Amino acid sequence: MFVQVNDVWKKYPGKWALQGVTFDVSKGKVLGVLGENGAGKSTLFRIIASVTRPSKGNIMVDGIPVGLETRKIVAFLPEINPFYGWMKVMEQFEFLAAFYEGWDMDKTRELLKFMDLPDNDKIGTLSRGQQAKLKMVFAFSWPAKLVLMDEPLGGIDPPARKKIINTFFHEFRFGEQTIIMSTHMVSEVEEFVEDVFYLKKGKIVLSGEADRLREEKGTSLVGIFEEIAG
Amino acid sequence: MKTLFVLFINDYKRIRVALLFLLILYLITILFLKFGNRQLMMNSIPGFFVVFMTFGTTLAAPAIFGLLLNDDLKYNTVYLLFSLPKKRFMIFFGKYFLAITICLVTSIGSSMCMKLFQEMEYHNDILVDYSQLVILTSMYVFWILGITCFTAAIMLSIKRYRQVAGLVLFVTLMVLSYKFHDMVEWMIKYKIDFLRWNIRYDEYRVMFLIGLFFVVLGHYIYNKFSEI
Amino acid sequence: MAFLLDPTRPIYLQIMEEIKKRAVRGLYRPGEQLPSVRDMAKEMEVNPNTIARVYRELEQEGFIETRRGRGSFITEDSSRIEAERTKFGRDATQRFIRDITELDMTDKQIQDMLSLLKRSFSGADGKDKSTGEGTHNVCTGE
Repeated sequence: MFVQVNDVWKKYPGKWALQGVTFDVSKGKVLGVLGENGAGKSTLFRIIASVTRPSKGNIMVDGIPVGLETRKIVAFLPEINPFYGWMKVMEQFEFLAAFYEGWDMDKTRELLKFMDLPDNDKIGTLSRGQQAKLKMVFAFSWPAKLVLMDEPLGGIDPPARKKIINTFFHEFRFGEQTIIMSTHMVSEVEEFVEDVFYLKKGKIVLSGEADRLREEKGTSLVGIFEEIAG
Repeated sequence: MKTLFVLFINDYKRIRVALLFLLILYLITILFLKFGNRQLMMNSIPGFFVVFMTFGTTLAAPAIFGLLLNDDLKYNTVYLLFSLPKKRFMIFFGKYFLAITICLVTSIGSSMCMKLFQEMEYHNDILVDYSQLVILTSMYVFWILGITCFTAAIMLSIKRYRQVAGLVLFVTLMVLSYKFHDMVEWMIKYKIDFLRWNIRYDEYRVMFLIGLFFVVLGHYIYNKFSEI
Repeated sequence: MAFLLDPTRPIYLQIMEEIKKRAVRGLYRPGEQLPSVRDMAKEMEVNPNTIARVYRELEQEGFIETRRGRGSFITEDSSRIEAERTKFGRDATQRFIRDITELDMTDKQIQDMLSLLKRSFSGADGKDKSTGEGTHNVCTGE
């Protein structure tokens, strides 16, 4: 198993954000983490990205407990724009390139061009959609083995969304890269995710292969989700 | 490391306006506030004490400029920094390295200036007691605030040792409050004019409370950190 | 032509059907090479892993053949494609019969309807609008 999350708990002051989350992802899979806002998705992502520590439980990525070593192979795309607003687009990527092994600057330029992103503008002046595109450039400019996308399509206008989806199909290193993406809008990821689980109040309430769930329940993931949420 | 350094140079470039503003404020204060008491005997302050005092400024600056004015938290760039494949310690060191360097330079510089002012006052018998002002400002504004914030910064960066850091902070504050008592006593002894500062002999406790306030602030910031 | 997925059914099954239908319609000829997994994924706008699964399943069924390092090819065996045509035809007819029997129509009525519809379909091949009108007229005529 490429990613192993074993009985992870996370407590914030006065509130449990995650309550015993356990799941596995095998290499090359695209896993969808579904759930409403505040279900604990972002917390889970931060823990897998080794940005924050769990209160209890352990996580392995590629057989290594999360930490410095796994940060070398994990691209973490948080929900919000994590880049320096005062940096120019290219400056930001040059900065990041210094930290990641195998960063391909030509690829970065190619992706920026494909996404119609200005490379000489300050990141702070870009629109939300453009900032979301930047995250994709970051994810696919270097050979990250695990890409964590927290709400990659949240609040983005349709043309930008289309570009992001196309990039995803174009750049996803089939068989080598594992992707975990989260969303509260299930319809956004319906066609991409192979395995899904639903997170509700910090617990996994349903999990399985997307196509198998459709077969069993005779409805779409959206339908299943609505049933659980309701 | 080199890239981190570059990043933080840029980071600090952005807050140079704030730095400049504080400097101007500092100068204005010095220019307009006049301490007319000429029997202050400031020259009896030992040299090492001056250095020690200015060191408070040294510690305060990285905290103020690095922690409080820093917008990593505000703009979520911490996610980026924290997910970088580098040791947290290295990132924080890189982040504050420049600040500490700047402050060391400032500290040495201001110590030299203080010494110079003292010499000037002693020889020329001038009316404005620059050195006293510098010391008072350092004391009231930077000293406690600085050490508290610095400890808070350590607490934030090394989560595992935050209890230890908290204890160190507490002890520091206790010692400080005691030292303050000493200092105020000493100032009373040498009839330093506290009129402008409106502080009485036993009001060092207020300073202690201010210190506590910053401990709480530190914890608040820490909690914000732990949520990411 | 855009291929629309029905999210309520397993996606891999729908894509398998789509590829078979394309072969039946002659869009993919026997022995023709299929697009690569990545290209197909882009075309269908689904996960490449799903396409890989589709190709695997189709291969198991013997509908396509994967040659190492060269890609996937539609079977040379045209009888295999014919069999799919029959299967799709049977399914479509079954659906038709199921629906029509619910309406309790006589065989004569059904025959008339079929010949009428067939005429309007073949007469207006490629002219969507008139086809629509034709169909509409039939309905109101009833």
